[in-house]
Amino acid sequence: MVSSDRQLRTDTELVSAIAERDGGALRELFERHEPWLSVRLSYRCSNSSTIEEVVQDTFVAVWKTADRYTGEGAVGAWIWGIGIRTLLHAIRPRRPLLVRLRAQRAVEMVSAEDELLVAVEHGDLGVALGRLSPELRAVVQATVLDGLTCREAGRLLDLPAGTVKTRMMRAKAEMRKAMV
Amino acid sequence: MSTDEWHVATADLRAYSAGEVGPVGRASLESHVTECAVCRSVLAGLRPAGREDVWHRITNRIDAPRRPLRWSTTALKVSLSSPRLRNATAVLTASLLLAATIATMIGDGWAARLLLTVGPITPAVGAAIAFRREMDPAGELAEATSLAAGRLPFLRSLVASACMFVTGVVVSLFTAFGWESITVWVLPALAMAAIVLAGATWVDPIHAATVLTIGWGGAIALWSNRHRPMPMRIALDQLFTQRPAFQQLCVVVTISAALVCVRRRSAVPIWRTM
Repeated sequence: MVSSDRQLRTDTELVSAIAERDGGALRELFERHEPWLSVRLSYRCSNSSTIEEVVQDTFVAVWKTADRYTGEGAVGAWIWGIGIRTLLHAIRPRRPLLVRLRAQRAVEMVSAEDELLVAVEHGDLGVALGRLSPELRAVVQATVLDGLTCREAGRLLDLPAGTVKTRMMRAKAEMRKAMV
Repeated sequence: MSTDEWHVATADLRAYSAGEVGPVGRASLESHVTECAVCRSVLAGLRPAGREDVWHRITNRIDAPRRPLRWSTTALKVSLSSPRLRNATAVLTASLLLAATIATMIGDGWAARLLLTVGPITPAVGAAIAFRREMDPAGELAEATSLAAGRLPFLRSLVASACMFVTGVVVSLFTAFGWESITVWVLPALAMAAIVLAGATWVDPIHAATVLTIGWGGAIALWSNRHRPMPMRIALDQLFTQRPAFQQLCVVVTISAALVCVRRRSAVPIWRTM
């Protein structure tokens, strides 16, 4: 009876139950969301033990911060937001404040790759995305699909935030051109 | 966007799970799976079981007893969470700063006296008020904290007097008094705060603080009567607090009082914090 009740609970209800310290609800959420989370993370990090740790950290964070889930947007997207940031933290630890401050002052150079972007031809969105250069596609993936900010995407891709913005604008323009 | 009508083909999900989908297909698939419970459960069925170890590690972390809070954090929490104690500490700290400002304004001659009067007294008063029943009228904090009843007022007193110590040291370092002036009042301040704490295991600490304040004020007044106001540098050498005998006495008193506090920690009357 209890288990059938649980199966009927929506993700949002599970998160509310987790906020009220319901361990069973966390288990249910884990069973529903761990598989895709692990797969999706595995496309962004090849080390399986890192992925396991990130999955653990993500669900522990879900347990701790369930009361902050506003109910806006899908629970899956919320979990992904936590997961991708945990991964980011795991593979690109924040640099010391001094280094970051120094980097702020450095002049942002336009990288060589920016100059060598390939032109895209006409096609649909998928084709347009597929035809983007790997550099632009990585930026689109990190910002649009993974939901990272320019600064976070920069950390992930080892680029200055300004370059992420430039590439994003370039990618938009090329995709728009490709789809018209 | 409705995800009810369309679902990813199982073959595609299998390829995705095996890491064989290219970037474009992945982008489309991932944004769908994030929102679609049906595809998520199909994907879950394609994954090898055996996530139990990950789950166990998660539950271990969630169920693990919370690490005992660090001493300093606890001390700050039990002190700062009492608004009255917070305010009283702020007032005392402000009065110490005010005394230092006035001392700087009226000149070197009186500065030593004022600093010597106010400096050692404020930590002792801070320690005493931290024991007051008024600091936690409903006793809620005392009951909610995981600390032994006797430790709570001690911790509060230490935090309250530490605020004054820090202020005093900062005043000494960053005003005209110079760092040498720290020695003028730090040792007597330590001794007096320790006496108040030790005394609290027998009597109401506010009485101990009052007696000490009067005694200390009297000693300073006596000393001032016998000596003319003098420049700070000379005062530093002349003051009785600079005599080795007095400083040794302060150290002995501080250590003895601290030992008394530890020995008699269970004798602190609980009502003083509740």
